[in-house]
Amino acid sequence: MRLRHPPLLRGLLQTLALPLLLWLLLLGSQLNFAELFTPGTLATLGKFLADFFPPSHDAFFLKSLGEATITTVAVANLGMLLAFAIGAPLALLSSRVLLGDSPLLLAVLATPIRALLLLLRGVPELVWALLLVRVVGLGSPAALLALGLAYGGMLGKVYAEILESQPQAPLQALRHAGSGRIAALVYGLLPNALPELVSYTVYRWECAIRASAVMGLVGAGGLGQLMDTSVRMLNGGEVGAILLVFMVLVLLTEMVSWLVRKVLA
Amino acid sequence: MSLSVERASLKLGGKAILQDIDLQLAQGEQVALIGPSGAGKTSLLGLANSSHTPDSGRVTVLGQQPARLGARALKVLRSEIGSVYQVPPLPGRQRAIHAVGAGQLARQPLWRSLLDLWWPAQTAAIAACLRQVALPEVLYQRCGELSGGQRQRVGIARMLYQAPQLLLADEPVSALDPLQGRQMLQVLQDDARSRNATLLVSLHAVDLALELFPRVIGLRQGRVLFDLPTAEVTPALLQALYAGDETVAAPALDIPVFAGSSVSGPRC
Repeated sequence: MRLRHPPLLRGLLQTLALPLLLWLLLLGSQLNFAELFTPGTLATLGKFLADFFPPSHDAFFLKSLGEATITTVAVANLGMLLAFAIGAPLALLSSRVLLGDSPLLLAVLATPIRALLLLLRGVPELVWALLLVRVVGLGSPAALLALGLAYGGMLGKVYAEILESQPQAPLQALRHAGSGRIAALVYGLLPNALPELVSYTVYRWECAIRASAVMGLVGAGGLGQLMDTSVRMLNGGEVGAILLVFMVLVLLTEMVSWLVRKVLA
Repeated sequence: MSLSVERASLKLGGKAILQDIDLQLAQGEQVALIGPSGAGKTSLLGLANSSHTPDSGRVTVLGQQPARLGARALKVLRSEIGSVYQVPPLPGRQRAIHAVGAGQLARQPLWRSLLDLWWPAQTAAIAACLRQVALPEVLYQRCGELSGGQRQRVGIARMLYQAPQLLLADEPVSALDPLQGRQMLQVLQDDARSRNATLLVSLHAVDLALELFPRVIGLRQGRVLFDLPTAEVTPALLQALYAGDETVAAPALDIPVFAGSSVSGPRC
């Protein structure tokens, strides 16, 4: 056996690769910083911001704001539920943790399911929403399905990775004592994997709240749709109010996820 | 015959680990397995608990050849093989009650095992097993909060709860002090004797092996060097067994390398 320090050159290349990549990305994005700070841009920005205050608060608007907020939260939560229902079983059926090392099972089950998960998460939820609006019509069902599909793909992949990255010895020991696959998974892997699984799920839920609001912009209901209307009508006060609600919403979700993580830790 | 190994050889990663192993353990027999580090003790126990399949030769456990069994029959056979590992494979966040309760996963339906996580049905029996390893107080503690020696004893309690026909223990007392180690070996022996189960224990502490077991198998470089009643194990044989291994000078002071390490060690 040879003990060897990683070669200097390789380490150097690895260190330089990231800045180089970032620089190339910056070129590719065609971002022009100078344009952001011309007097014209700043004046427009200033007027737009000034219009935000005071935020609209007439009864009619507040009513539709309330309804949109409820829609957004409901879509996010139900969408996550659907995503979990899709992602959790697919994660198990595509991972070595449940299938073992049988080449046949891996080929027949894992490979197609991994491809399906890739398809689900490869299409962004906004694009899913655009497509689904054509299928199920304008409104929240499209957003709900879009979230479920795209996030189902993400949960499925990440759940499988989390389970496979756990120490496998406890699971193997249980299998060697005759335990079934699922029981061994629940007793051997889940205890250690649970915090990571829950933490990622809660993080995805935070994202779902944001995404659910954004998807309204393509006609899928909720805060986004309200915002779209207000922006089109150049009603700065309404946009301000919507953003305010939105920030409160995000703050609340972050508090909830902080609480969940603290309880688990 | 409880365990029968016939001319078995095992390669792992292209390296010959065990060669031409022959040994027979009758039902109810209690045998110690000794030998220097890297002699293949753990791999031999792996052959016995069906986690390794021999590359040649034959392993028969409780009258059946694991390599020839279908999935269902293998599960039934494995439920009668208990293993204690040198590094207890217990998830750190798992409570001791479930770590021990997992000993019966093979024998109860899945719904029962899942329900046990919220509403343990066998609390009394599990607590009794923990009392046997002198750990009644850890029932609801997480394995990660326990010391290395405590975890090792929880691992032993799991096998007691499993109550298998063949008990295999790989350095089961390496994280325990000599006194506790002796007690735990006696707990294993008493349990095996009371159920007429067979016990095979690998030990680094030669003195304990010679003191407690009627039969000792010496393994060196993947081969059986001797397989004798304890009375016939001579100092010369032991010297030949451990030749070139400086750790034998103080076998009782064996320090488990991984048990307490947070980097490469177990999560529990």
